[in-house]
Parts: sequence; C-alpha cells; structure tokens
Amino acid sequence: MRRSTLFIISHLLFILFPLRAFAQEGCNVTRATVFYGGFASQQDTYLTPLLYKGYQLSMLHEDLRATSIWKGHVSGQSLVQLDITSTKSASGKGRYLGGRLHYDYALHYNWLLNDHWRLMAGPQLGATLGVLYNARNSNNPAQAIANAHLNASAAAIFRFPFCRREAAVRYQTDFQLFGVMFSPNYGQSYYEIFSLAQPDHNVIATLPWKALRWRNQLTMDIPLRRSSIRYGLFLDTQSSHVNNLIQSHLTAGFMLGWVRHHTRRNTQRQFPENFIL
Amino acid sequence: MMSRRLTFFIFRFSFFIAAALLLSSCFRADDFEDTPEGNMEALWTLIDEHYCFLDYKRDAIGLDWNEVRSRYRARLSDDMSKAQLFEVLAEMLSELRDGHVNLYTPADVGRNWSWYEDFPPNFYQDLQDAYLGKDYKIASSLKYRILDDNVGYLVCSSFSSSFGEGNLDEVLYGLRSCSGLILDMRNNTGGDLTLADRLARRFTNDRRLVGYICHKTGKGHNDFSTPEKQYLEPSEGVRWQKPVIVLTNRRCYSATNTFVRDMKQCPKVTVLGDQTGGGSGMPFSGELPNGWSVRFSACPMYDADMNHIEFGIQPDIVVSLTDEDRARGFDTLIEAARQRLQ
Repeated sequence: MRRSTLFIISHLLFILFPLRAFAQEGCNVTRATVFYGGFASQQDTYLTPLLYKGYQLSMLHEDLRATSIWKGHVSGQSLVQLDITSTKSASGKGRYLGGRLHYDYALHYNWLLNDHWRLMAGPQLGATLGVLYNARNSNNPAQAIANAHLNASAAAIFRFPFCRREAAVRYQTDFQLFGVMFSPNYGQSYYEIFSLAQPDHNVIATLPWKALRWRNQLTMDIPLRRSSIRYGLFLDTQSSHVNNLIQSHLTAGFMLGWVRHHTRRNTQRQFPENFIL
Repeated sequence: MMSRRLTFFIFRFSFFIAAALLLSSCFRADDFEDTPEGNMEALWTLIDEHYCFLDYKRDAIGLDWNEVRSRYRARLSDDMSKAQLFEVLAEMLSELRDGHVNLYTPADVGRNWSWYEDFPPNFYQDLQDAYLGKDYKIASSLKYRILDDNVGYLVCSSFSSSFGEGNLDEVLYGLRSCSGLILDMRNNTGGDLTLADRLARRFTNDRRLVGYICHKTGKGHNDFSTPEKQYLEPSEGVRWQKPVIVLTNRRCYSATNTFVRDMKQCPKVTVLGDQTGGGSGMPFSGELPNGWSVRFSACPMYDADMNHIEFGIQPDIVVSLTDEDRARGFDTLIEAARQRLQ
C-alpha cells in the first residue's frame, strides 16, 4: 500500500504542479486575506496522552485565478495558512505551544449551473510544516510536524444581488485522500532519529483511515467599494494514527478579512465575466 | 443530466467524508477522569504501555505489574487527600526500582533512589576538594589539575552542564605531560548523552562498537524495535593516548552509566571503584489528569554484548573508600588509581 500510495502522489506532483503555469495566463484573479481565531483541541500521545484545549490564531491567504485549461473551465487556487496555537491540559498545568504552515494548491473544474450557482471540484496538493512544543517534557519536549498530501477539494458558490452589486456565499471543503507524513515511532526518541541517525518507519504513506485532513470554510463576501469583506466560519480537522501514536488537531473559529478582485484589461478575455470570486 | 451526475458525485463525496470522520473519531486516546482511581489508572496504563523494562524486571526482580495494580488500587478511596494519593502513586512507581521514574507534584517528587541510597557512597566532597586544592583549573564544567606524582586528575561532576570540544582540547593538552589520567566520574548523575559521547570520544583512536539501543514500537511489553548498534567515533580533536582510570560509585547514573559503558570498550581504560547506579532507559515524560507529571524510561540501552545495564556496570577493579583512609584525609579510590598509574 505504501509503495502504491507514494507512486500515485509522486506522479500527481509531476502532473499537478506544472499545470500551475497555466494559471499565470489568467486575467481574472481574486486574492483574499483572512484572519481567524477560535477554539483549538490538540492531542499528541507522543508528548502526553491527555487532550489539550485552547485557542488558535491563523492567517489564510488565498489566490484564486482563472486558467486556460479546458477552455477556461479550470481555476487555480493557492492557499497559504499559518496557525499559532496555545492549548492547556484540563488541569491547566500542561501547555502546548504550536505553529503550523500549510501550503495547498488546487485545480478546480468549474460548473456554472446558472446565474447564481457555481460548483468547483478538483485535486489539491499540499504540504504542512510545524512544531508542537510541550513546556513540561524532558526528552520528548516537542513533536515535529511534516507532511505532504493529496486532497479532494470541492466548493459551492452562490451569488446574489446586494446593494446593486454582487455578494457571494461560498462553502469549500478540502479532504485528504493520500499523504506522506513524518512521525517518530511509538517510543522512539529524537536522539535516535537525529543524533544517532537511526530512523524507524518515520516516513509513512497514509490513507484517510490512517491520517485525515479535512478543512472547511463557509464564507460570505460582502462588496465594499473596490473590494469585499469576507467573514465566515472555519473548521479544520487533522488527525493521524500511525506508529501506534495518535495526533489530532481540531480547530473551529470565525474568519474575517478582505478580498480584492483584479482584472487585466489588456489581456484578451477568454473567460466568462466575473468568473472568479 | 449534468446536475444528476453532480448530485450523485456530491452524495458519494459526502458519504466518503462521513465514513472517514467516523473512522477518525477512533483517533482518540483513552480518557481518564480526574479522580483517585482515574489518576491511578492513567498512571498504571502509561507505565504499562510505555515503560521499557517491564519484562526485564519481571525476570530480574520478580516485578508483576498487574499484581501491582490490584494491590495499590485497594488502597484508593474517593475521599483521600492529594497527599495520600501522591503517597500511593509514588509507592506504586517505586516498585519499578528505577531512578528515571518520578512523579512530580507541586509539593513533592516521588522517587526510588535505592540505586545509591542503599550503598556506601565511596565519595566525600571534602576529600575531593582536598585533592583538587585551591589552584585547580576550570574548563567550563570540568575541573582538573596535575597531582604531585605527575598524574592528571580530571573531575567531571555532571553531564548537565555543558563543555565544548575546545575545553576538552585545552584540558587534555594541558595534562599531556602526565603519566596517566584519573577521570573522576563519582556522583555524576548524568545529563546530556551527547556530552558523555563527546568526552568518551577522546579516549579511542578507532571506531568502536559500544552498545545497542532500541525503543518501543507498540503497547505490548515486548514490542521493541530491532536493537541498533551504537558506535563510539574517535574525536578529531586531542585524543588521550596514555592510561586512564575512571573512578565510579553508585551515583554514576544515566548518561554517566552510558559513558562508563563506552569507556570500558576503550583501550588503556580501567574502571575502578564501585558498581555504577545504572539507569539505561532514556526517560520520556507523561502526565496525569490531575496535572501531575510523570517521568519514565522509554528507550533501553545495552552494552556491546546486548546485556542490560539498567542496574549498573561492574568496575574492572572493585575498591571501596575505607573509614580509616577518610579519617587520614585519603581517598582510597584516588590513591589506588595513583598507584596503578605510577
């Protein structure tokens, strides 16, 4: 299973990322920067068996643009997400400090159902780097987070008139299908991995029942002068059960940010008007 | 037609997500309540699933971890105080006879220090101070001097305080004219393994197999990885080429125990004194629902013949510090080492 998963992911990497070049041809671009804060729940049995709860602050930058693939029916979306978390054990004596940086790139096929509805679906490739630090532990004080994943990404967009302009409600979900992740083995120390250079099943290919990433965004864009205000809800779940270790990270929060639309007027248009939100 | 396909796709996609979420809900460790019984169960389970010497200590000292559970559970009551709960849990952990196993609370630290408390110290600070005198040199955490009979005397009292390669270069170069070196490791209770390795590398000219290390791969008492060889690589700095005598006592523990293991594989090295205290499991940390912190051995290390060194390493020459010598201001171990280095 591991070999076949690695084979699929490596080939998709070769296919999907070169397609990004087509996205540069797009004339319609939407850039959104949102900040969100909310509840976070974390568990990492390598560090401690207990569930920690607290808060997360994040920034999500989205770049959504048209491409020339399939007569302009495919859009390219890149997402850069930075998370900072601070959580505590139920007793309040243990504390996690964590940081994660996610990058995802998706190519969505767009179905324009009517003047209001648009559906998008396609593959998404991404990677995450981060660290989770437990302030109390001695030889296992931190957990390194590193993974790459292939997701299924889908979105539904509903546009409606608002003060002579258009507002939009969007729901997007990104669901991990395959992945490759780093994990120490059950009782393996980082001293063995890095000082002694003795790896032991530390790079693991995963399917959804071994590692899951499910990110959901429900947002509304309200036009305001030349840009839009975006607000909404965010739900992000990351879990894994590999090497007999459980890692889970759940966050839910409220998003607020701004959206800017760019149109290159000099470029010959080959896309529907207002194609990109 | 198109919208039907889409509906079907969305339905299947939703079903797939729901099924995966159902599976992911299994990604939760056991929850224990913050009650005396919940805390004891959490502690017992943590040790049962992660502690690396349960099978070894069953054979070596007759430890029956399941029997321990039932025996200590009988001492619990719902209305017991924190101090009473601490007493029960600390005693339960002391059954492991492991200096790397501790229960940390704001009021006290649960421990079993029988690995040195039940044995003669073979070390007195005032005697060591007398041998060092007042004009000894200090290189970071290392103290050293040349004794009257041209024997180098180097004290490494901790691997928790760092010293660098430059310190070792200077120390060994400064002692180069000596006929031999006494390396006093007594009462060094360990610290950073990389410091132990840094020091030991000065006493070999060749790459040497010094032992093995492994780790647990699952919750079973015998779920271990294949032991990996540990080698001692010769330092690229100044290396000591003359005889060395390493002084040990029962308080040589943890990283110092590993250091002695490594030094026993080096040429021209003799270990003299008492058995080391042991402590061959690299400790990890855990936590109880009430916030108390737990430390336990997680990664076992072995000697070059795959023998356990959890309960210590025998010296090449057993020497005990006598009361008569102490009364005369002599350290029996240092004097025995000096005689051998003449």
